[in-house]
Amino acid sequence: MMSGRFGGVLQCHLRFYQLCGFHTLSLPLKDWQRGGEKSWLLRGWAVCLLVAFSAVTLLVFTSNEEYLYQGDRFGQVNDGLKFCFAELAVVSIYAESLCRHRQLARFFSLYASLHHGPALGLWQQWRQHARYLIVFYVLAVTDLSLLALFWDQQIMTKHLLLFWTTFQPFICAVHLRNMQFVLHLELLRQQLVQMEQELALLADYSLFASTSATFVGFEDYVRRRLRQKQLQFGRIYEMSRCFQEAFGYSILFVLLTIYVRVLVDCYFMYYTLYQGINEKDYYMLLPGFLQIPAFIQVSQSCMYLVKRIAYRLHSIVARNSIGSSPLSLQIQNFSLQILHQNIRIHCLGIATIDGYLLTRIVCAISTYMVFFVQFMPKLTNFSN
Amino acid sequence: MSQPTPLVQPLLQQFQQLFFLSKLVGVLPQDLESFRTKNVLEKSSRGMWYLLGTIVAYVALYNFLIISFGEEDRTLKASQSTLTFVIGIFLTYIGLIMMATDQITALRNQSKLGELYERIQVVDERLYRENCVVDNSRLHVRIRLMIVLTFLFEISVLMATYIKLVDLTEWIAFFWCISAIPTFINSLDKIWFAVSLFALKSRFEAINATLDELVATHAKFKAWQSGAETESELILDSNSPPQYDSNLEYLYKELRGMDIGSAKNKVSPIAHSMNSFGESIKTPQKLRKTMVNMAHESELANPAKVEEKLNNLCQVHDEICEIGKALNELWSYPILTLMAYGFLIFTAQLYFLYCATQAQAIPSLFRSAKDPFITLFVLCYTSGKCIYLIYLSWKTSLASKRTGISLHKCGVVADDNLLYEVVNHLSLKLLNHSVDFSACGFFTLDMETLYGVSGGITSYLIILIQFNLAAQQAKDAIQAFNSFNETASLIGAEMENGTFSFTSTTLSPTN
Repeated sequence: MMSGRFGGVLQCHLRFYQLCGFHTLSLPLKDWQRGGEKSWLLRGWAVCLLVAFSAVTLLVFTSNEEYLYQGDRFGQVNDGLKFCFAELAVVSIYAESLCRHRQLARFFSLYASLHHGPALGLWQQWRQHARYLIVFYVLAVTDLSLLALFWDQQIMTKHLLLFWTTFQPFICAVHLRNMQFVLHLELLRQQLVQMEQELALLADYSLFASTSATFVGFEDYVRRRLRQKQLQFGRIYEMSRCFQEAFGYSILFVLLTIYVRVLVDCYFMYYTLYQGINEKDYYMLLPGFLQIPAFIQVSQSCMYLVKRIAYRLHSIVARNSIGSSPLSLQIQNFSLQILHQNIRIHCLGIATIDGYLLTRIVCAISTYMVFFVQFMPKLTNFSN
Repeated sequence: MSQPTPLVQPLLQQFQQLFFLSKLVGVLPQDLESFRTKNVLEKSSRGMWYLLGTIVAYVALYNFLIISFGEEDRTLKASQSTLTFVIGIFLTYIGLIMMATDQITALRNQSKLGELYERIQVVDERLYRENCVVDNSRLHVRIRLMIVLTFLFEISVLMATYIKLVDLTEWIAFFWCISAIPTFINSLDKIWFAVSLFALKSRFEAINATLDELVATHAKFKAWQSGAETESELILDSNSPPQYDSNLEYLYKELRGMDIGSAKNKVSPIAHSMNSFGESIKTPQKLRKTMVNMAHESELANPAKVEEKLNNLCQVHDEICEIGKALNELWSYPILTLMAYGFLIFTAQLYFLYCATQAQAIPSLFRSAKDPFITLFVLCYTSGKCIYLIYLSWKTSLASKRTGISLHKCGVVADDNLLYEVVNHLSLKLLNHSVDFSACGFFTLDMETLYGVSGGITSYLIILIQFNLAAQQAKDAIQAFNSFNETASLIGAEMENGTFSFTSTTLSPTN
């Protein structure tokens, strides 16, 4: 029944994340409370992948081959930094998918409880998840086509070959995890949108009732509807908390990894241009550039919707609101509840994922680039 | 709640080992005897003198350390950039400043600290009367763990430094262990803060758990009352049939006049809606009556009684917030210095690590930076201390904010007008009365601060490294220039003859 509700498109994408070892609940999502019998298999698979990734990192740092940039110490440290953060991110991702599956299960059980209605057709499902699907496929296609272009255009040196074959899997894992965040937030956002629409409906209706005509029991009806919405909002908030608990650490490390990678690649881009080296791998950071805004956009729209919900709530007309009419009391209560249950998507409280974070990231990258540009002549002189 | 045997176990009972240890090394001046017998922190003048004595002793020892190990630093100024030298001098003393701040603050807070724990005791009793028991018994395990970790870090850093970096043949090497004193004293002091904060957090959590339990029992009660099969179904409250929504949508369309053309819409929307709302308009009064009969089943069903309980819980919540603020106040300067110390030492250690990899001399007190693994250990220790305090403050603040959420759950589940009024009132109160921790008001102790601090550390590190590079290059250039001049003058002397060649050869060794 649940699998029917969730729809094939969502199931299919969750299956894909299962393959990556990010989603350790068995599908179809029905007995999420116990995790299902296949979940042991999935967790084992996640452990295998984690071991494989860690082995690659170990190889990179211990081997004498030219995995990291060997030109100068600074470049080498930068490359090492990229690998360090990627490894941290991978560890946090798999540790979370191994240990936090209960929160994830709760997320989906809450989603199932909120998401009722008839099963949708394929096209409707596509429309429902359109935002996520567009972001996912556009970014995936960009990534793959740039990779193909790189493979085609670049004359491979040994260093480039070694570096990209070891580093690209990390990039893929981190980007896919980011897409998983987007998917979950998109589910959250859909619930918020639905709630906002329903409240708007109630507001319109109460306006009509207050201006034109009313009838006995109308206020009580609206009040009961509002109470139901309050319960629903509580559940949506709980969903956001589960999301936070299930993904908190990996949000932090995935964002950090993408950030460090973009920064280091910007440095190397400038370096290759400065030295006139014929390496065109820097345009590979374009998808990395796009990953952070994709995540920020959906998270910001979630937080924005909460404000819209409060606005819609207060546009419900409660007649004789001077006295303590039950309806106005209920509205006050809901409004206070929204103030308390303010949905805020953040990475472990360190930064709220909104547009401001993007501004800060861009500022930081440009500042560091200025430093690096200053650095470059000194470093090259020094190494000479 | 009579006096001789307290209702609840005093919190300080868990602190015994920590107190004896801190008393011994001079972190707290309070009276040992009264703590042992009555588990209270009392002012003691003897303790004060002892503590002052330890401060003087530590400062003297540390200065002795600096002087005895500082001989190699004399050459540092000549050989290295002034920057490294100045940073070294400044940071050598910041550990000492931090330790002195801790101890002097402990002296200042002598009597206030005892009052704080008495207030917590009162809170515990009030919570106990609301059937909300806080379990203190695990606290001493936490304290022991922290002490063990502190010892582990201090000793391993010391041992590693002894093995790898200190010349053991000299008798002075023994005094290297003095270098661990300031951080050790500081860690002990911070364990007091951290564990007290944790105790406050668990009190907030106990309140939240009590409220959540009220909700759960009421939901069960309601489920039993309405005869719903499963509890979850009622919590979800999905009592609206699907066509209900479509009716509303239909109504909405009518109101908007979207399908004006169709004849069906001529039907008066009001009459229609009355029918569609007809979902057996459950008379709330009837439900309420049956609930009152079952008052013993769920507390939330009795608004008057539950009002009192909610009021009490909120008052306790307020009191815990106040205690939190007082706690923060007591430790505001030590925390500020700790954060400053953490920031500076983190930056300096990394900078000196860089210097060491470039084979440059570094201040002798930062010799642990010569080895990357010891550096990693030191950094873990320092940052672990800072981050744990920040994390705990943030979590406590979050737990205090969650009470409002649990309160609203109570209101919504009970669905009673009187209770809504109570909840609205209390919820406003909670909104205005939240606890936020800060270091003297300079910055709040939440995770956002970490973002700023880590950004600051990387920026400063890059700037410092740039300066260092520039200084090195300037030095190289000067050297190159000098040697060039030297050779030039030598060649010039060769080209001339007699007395000049003699002077140049005598001069060159002295250069």
